[in-house]
Amino acid sequence: MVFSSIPFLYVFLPVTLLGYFLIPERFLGLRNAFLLLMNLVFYAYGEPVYVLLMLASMAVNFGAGLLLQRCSGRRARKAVLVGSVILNVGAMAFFKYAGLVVDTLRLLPALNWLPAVKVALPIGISFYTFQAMSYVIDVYREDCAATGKFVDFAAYISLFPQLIAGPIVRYSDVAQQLKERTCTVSAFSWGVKMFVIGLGKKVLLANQFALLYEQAAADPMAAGTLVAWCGILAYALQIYFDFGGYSDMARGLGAMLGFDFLVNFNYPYISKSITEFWRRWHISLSTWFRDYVYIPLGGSRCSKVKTARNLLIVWMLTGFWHGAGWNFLLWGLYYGLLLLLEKFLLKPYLERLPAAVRWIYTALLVLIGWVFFASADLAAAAQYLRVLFTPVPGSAGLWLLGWIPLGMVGAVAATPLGARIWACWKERPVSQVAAAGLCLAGLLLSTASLVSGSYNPFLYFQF
Amino acid sequence: MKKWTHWLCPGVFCLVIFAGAAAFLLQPPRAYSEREKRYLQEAPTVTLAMLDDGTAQADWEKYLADHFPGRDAFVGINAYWKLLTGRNALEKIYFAKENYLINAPTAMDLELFTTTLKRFDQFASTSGLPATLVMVPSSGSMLTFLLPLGHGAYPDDQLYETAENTLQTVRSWDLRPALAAANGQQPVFYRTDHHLTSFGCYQLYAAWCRAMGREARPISDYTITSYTGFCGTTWSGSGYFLTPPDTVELYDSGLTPTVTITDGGKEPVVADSFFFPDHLQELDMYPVFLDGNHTLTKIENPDAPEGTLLVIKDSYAHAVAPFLAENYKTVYLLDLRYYRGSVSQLVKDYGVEELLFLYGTSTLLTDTNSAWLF
Repeated sequence: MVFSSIPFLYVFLPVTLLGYFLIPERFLGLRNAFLLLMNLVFYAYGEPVYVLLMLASMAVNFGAGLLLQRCSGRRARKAVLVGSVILNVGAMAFFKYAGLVVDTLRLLPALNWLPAVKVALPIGISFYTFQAMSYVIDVYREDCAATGKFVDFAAYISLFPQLIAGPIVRYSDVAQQLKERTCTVSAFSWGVKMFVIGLGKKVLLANQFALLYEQAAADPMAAGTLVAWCGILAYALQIYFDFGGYSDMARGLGAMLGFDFLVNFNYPYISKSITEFWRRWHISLSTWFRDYVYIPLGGSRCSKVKTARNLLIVWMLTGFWHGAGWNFLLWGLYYGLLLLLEKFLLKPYLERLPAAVRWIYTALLVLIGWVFFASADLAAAAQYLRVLFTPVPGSAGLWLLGWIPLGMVGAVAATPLGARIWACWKERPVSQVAAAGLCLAGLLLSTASLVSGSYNPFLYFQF
Repeated sequence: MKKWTHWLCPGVFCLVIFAGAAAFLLQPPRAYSEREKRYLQEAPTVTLAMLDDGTAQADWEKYLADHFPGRDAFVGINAYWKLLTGRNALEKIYFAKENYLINAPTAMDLELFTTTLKRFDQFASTSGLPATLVMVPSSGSMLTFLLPLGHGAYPDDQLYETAENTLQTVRSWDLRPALAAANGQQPVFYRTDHHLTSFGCYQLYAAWCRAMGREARPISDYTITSYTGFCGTTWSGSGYFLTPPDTVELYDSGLTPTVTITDGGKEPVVADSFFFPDHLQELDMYPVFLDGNHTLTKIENPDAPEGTLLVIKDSYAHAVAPFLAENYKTVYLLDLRYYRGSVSQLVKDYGVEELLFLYGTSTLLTDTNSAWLF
């Protein structure tokens, strides 16, 4: 189930909120149990079979935590850690990458007898596996204590607001909230605003920009250079509002339920360097890789060569995490190299350039990165890039003007302008009234868009 | 800050989602959507296997969306929202000036178009009968002055040119000048539908008579009755539900025909009028002409001067046929989408003396049923 759908908004959410708030706050254990139940319903709706895989992951990692707590010997503890990491990464690797690896091996003449492997990817496995691993590693490092309450732990792993598209919430960040949390009207109010903003970003912006990119990507040669640039700009906005909108909705839902999740996207498109971009984009993933891969490898407190190696490892993994395809690996490598360049070479020069030039430099490189990310394979990416950088006339026309209003809304919505205005005005009662009006409008317009998706007139168009 | 203001956003939010859920539970389910002309999803039955492969969830989501409270209103809101945010020229149906709702251009498929025309030509030459093709242009190509900025290019010019170059046996000529000239007096296209108005159909008939060297019945012979409240297919499809309804005019010359409608596997229906007034109660009134789509319709007018005409057609012909019946003792209307028999056999059996292919250009770009013309 996705948040931006009629079943979630008008069935699952009302039932969940009603049940949750009918349980008095002092019975937090019961609330957590109810939450776990709804999490499982939420997940099983989309993955009726793989819900068992998630339950197994919960059991394994919960058990690993308890074992780490019990064991005192260094080697035993390490064995538990390594065992759990192998199980976690193994399951993720199997479900996510088995198909890609076998398909690639089959390209070799000697191995073309291998059977094709088709494994359906369990939704959210990349997210909940990373959450579970962070728990075990934190317990191993003694950054947090293992929990003895399976229900709380299972509710955390499967917490529906961030289950299928993040942010990756670390156990240490919510451990306290699982034990005690209070729901206040003002937090709920903030959550509603955040949720509706996220819903609007997803439904009213991302879903619409997707149409322009699809049009450009369907046949880049026919679309031509201008449309291809508009298309990749639309894609940049689409993926930001899609992913960022989902994170906003997750934070909003969390706030309604009394949780406080960390910010995941911090206006990435205002960045003036690639380094800054990755400090603002999908923060929970970057910090995860920083804390659990980059720093354990030695981080940047070692020789330049080793730092470079560490960076490239982390960025190949980051790319690969995003999807099972060689284009994702290339996309990660692309950013790894850019970050290396900035770190060791460009930094002093970049700092001297005017802000506008640094912004254009960043935006251009990010857009090129999205070509790799968005394309189905490397050949498609190469073709799209060719159209971007060699003039092709194509289908550009006055119809492109139709995208300007939405494009402008998207461009402004990707900057902190709205948040700044809100920060100045939010104390006034009239602002809350206006916010409620905007919430209503956002909710109704999003609903209208979702409902319209099913409006399929059987019109005898021609006959 | 005052405390009560904190309750505003949660209040609005909960009101909407709970009211939506409650209204969904309480409202009686609707079986049929008149605007969409389709039966809505029935309450799904759920089995474990269906849950496993996701069909139960998909059916349930369709059911929920089909029966969502205020569904038509939401569809309208979405349409006007897109319009307000400048996306008129990007939609499939344009919100044009003077309350016209006009289909965007049909994608060009010259190969299909040429293939269809060659099949017509082949059929006409095999049958040895005199044959004509009348193509009704897309309304957008005729009414460009009403279209929004950035609208797509209509392929009609190229289609008429191709028709002229492709057809050898079938006679064809450009209907557009006649329609354009008449449109100054009265609309030849509906505002909320892609079809020709009755006035437009009369112009087609008159132009056709001129081209064939026949005499058209003068327009002054007709008694015209108007019916308002016509919301046609571009109205339904666009979601611009605030567009004022259109008017349907029925032209009556006093002729009482015998109309026999035959559909495969059904008893023929016989009527003594071109018009089926039950359909005037519906949103889409166009089926008032000869009851809409049927496989084969026979129209008899024993007093007419000419013999038997076979019209191979799409729905544009339904409103034209009453005029053609003035000149022919028998007019057959044949729809290749439904007819699966041999048309050449039909021509022999019914003593057809003339052929008319009557299609909208948009049909000729999408319909592959000319393959059944044998």
